[in-house]
Amino acid sequence: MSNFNHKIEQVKDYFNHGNYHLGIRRLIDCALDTQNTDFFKMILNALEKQELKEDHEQLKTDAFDLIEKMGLYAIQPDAVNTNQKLISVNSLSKQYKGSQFKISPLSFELNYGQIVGLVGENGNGKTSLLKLLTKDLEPDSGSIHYHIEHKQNYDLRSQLVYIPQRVPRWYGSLMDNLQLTLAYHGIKGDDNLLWVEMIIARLGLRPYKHLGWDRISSGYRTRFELAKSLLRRPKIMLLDEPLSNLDIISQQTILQDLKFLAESHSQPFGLVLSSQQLYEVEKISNLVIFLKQGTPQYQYKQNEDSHLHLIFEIETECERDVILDVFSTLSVKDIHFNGGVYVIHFDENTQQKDVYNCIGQKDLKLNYIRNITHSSRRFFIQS
Amino acid sequence: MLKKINNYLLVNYPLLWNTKVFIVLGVSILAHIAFFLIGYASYFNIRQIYMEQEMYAFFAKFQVTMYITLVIVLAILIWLIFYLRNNAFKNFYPITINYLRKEFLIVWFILFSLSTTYFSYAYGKHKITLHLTKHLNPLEDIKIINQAKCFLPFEMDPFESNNSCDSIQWRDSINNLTNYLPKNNDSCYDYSPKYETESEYDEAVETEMASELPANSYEQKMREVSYSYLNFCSNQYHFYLDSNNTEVYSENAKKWLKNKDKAAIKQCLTAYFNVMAKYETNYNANIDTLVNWCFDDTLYTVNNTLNNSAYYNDYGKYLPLNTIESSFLENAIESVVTERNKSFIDIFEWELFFYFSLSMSFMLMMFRLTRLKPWLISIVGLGIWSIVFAILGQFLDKNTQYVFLGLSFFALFYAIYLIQKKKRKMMAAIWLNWFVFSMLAIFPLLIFIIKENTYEIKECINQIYVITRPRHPINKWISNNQDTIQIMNIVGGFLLFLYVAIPLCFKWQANPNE
Repeated sequence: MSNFNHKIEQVKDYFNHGNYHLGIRRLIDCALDTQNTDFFKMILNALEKQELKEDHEQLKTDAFDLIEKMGLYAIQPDAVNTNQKLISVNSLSKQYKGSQFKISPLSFELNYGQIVGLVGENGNGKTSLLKLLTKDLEPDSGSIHYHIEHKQNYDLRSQLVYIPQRVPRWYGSLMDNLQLTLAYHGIKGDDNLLWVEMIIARLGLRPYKHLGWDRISSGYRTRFELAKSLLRRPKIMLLDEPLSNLDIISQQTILQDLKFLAESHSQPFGLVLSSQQLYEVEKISNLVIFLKQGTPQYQYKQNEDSHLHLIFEIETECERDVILDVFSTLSVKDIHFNGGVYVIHFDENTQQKDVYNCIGQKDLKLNYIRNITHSSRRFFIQS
Repeated sequence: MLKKINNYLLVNYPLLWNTKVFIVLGVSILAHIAFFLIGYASYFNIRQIYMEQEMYAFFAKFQVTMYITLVIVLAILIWLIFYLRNNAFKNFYPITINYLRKEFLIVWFILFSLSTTYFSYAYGKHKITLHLTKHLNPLEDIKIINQAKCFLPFEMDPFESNNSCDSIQWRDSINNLTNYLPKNNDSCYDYSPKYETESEYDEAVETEMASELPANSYEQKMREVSYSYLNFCSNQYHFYLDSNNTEVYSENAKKWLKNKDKAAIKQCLTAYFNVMAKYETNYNANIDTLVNWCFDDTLYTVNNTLNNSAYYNDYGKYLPLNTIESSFLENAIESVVTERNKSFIDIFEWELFFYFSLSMSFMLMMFRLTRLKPWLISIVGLGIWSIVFAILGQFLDKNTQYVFLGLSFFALFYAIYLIQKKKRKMMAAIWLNWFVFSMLAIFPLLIFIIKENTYEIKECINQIYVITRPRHPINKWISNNQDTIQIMNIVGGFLLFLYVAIPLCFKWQANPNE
């Protein structure tokens, strides 16, 4: 089954299980993949009907009708091979003049459709690394190789879209700005409006499309900036703390959307994002880089290093002795308490089920528990 | 409708939409029409045309100019608010060097079309002047005035014997002869002196006079009279717009006076007053009285004078007896002739507005293409440098322009070096801005240097100027082609910006900061 057909099947499932909101977002992704403006019109009509009369059954009928037509649509093979490299970073380092701070040699690669998460405390070089990747800063040593066709540096930089933490102010309505951006990127005439409407719908900005900067919240400003960046059809998108202005639900939605959009059939891109939302970023990233005082302490790829020793993070009212008693049958290597949560290290032979068994048997009252063996969360632990 | 057009431009022609060129064009056309009408409504009669020479009218005109300037400045500011909202270049949108060239030309066009609204005001005034004066024949009227001047003693000097056309002083002056060189004087003169001392000269004049005229002759007696109508020399006192055959007027006057031809003189003065009436100028004089003044005695002595302007008292304007507003008449004729001969394409004025709009476009585009900080540093730096240059110019004579020119080109080459090497982005922008801002001065400076070095050099030797280095042909060419040079300067400015500054900015923008 092709990637596109798999997406179509997913959309059907979402609607069948009543996940209308997710379903419509993914349906828009499928339509965007086809790049067929007839499908755009059909989706926008369905959305308009839905806005007038909130009828999920009607929406589902329209969606299935559309899915059927899209299924018959002879979609082109993937525009870009997702194994194709976008950036190769080799031993990159940078030190600011007159400052002790330094980004120590760092290497990684980014492919189409992949996401690299940058995590670390404030002032540890995340933004500097992003600026190095946008070519806004010149490295002292090492190299960044962009596997993107370009004649001049300006052409290259127009394919690297960087969204700063503080979204720059814009003037006029959101709609006008997006239409202008798209017109500059060569989509003109009637298609311009359709593409913009689709992206607006995709990012949940329809109710705000005629509003200006002053009348929308900072969270929606971030979404607007994302919409603008997506219309630019970037090869590489670099986001600096995009989640900082969003509520927890929006954070999850945006991250999931970014993952879907990065893996687009027709316009895939590579994404590098920095964030403090460790767990959320980990969920979608193919690679997480933890920066501590500019040093990449950890580079982690999901589904690797399965032989690592277990580490659990738990929040409980119980004292340390009680916890040690609960896990007395297991080999606890280390236990840290930061006043709020305990981080417990077990030896390599301990299995996840053993930990849950102990908790169950001793009826340990828990507020929260998380296996952080594969999470860079464990590097945030202060001894 | 407007919304549809706006949206059409937005999605199809983002550059036109962003620069708001069509809206500005509409506003500009309306402003041109409005200012033309204001100009056209400036005059309702001929008198208003020449009364502009008066002080209050000057301020009224100044006021109108101020209002026009304010409207232009306001229009430009409002346009800037919209234009500066979006910047595709700084956001790395996929645009080309040609896009920036088009943007620059549009910006220049907008500034030029808005700033030249003053021309429409001037053109409105020009058209109404032509309309109100179409029935007049100023060249014929000037002849009448020049003839009548022989009988209108507004002041005594023109009737003094030393100023008569056959006086030796007058002959010497028209032959460009220096009479004598004053001793112990640092002045330098262009011509060789005819006599060595003043007394030698006076003696020669007396001898010449004695030898020219027989004793007790009529002319000899005339010379003894200080002020006589016969002494009036039209060559010296004619209204300058009629310079051909001016001696005819004094010859006619002498003939009529000697023949006691009162009728001819009366006819001449009547024609003069008719001209005054046509130009709506005022007078309070009796023609017969003026004719009789000429024949007060047998030597036609000037015993009375006329006033040439009105008085103002508590009741307003007051025109005393024997007052003729002759200067107003001459102003009126001058205004009419000037308007009729005015070429509306006065290259100098157009150049001035070209320069203004070009300089503003340079400033604005560099603000758009680089950043605020280097842009400000360059403006302040260049301002300080220009002041230093002006002060140094007082002490170092003509060498400072070489330094100014040298620094401008140094700025360009250093900016190119930094941009190519991708080093010190801020510094590169400062030098690039510096070069662009000084660009408009480069060509005139080059011309100035050429002119300075090729001009003839005169040195003062024994109070006489002697040419030590003759004039170079290039200097003559430069003098004769000032307009061409200015046009070349403007065209040069355009080309330098389009083909040097913009590509450099394009490269600069993609360079890293550090």
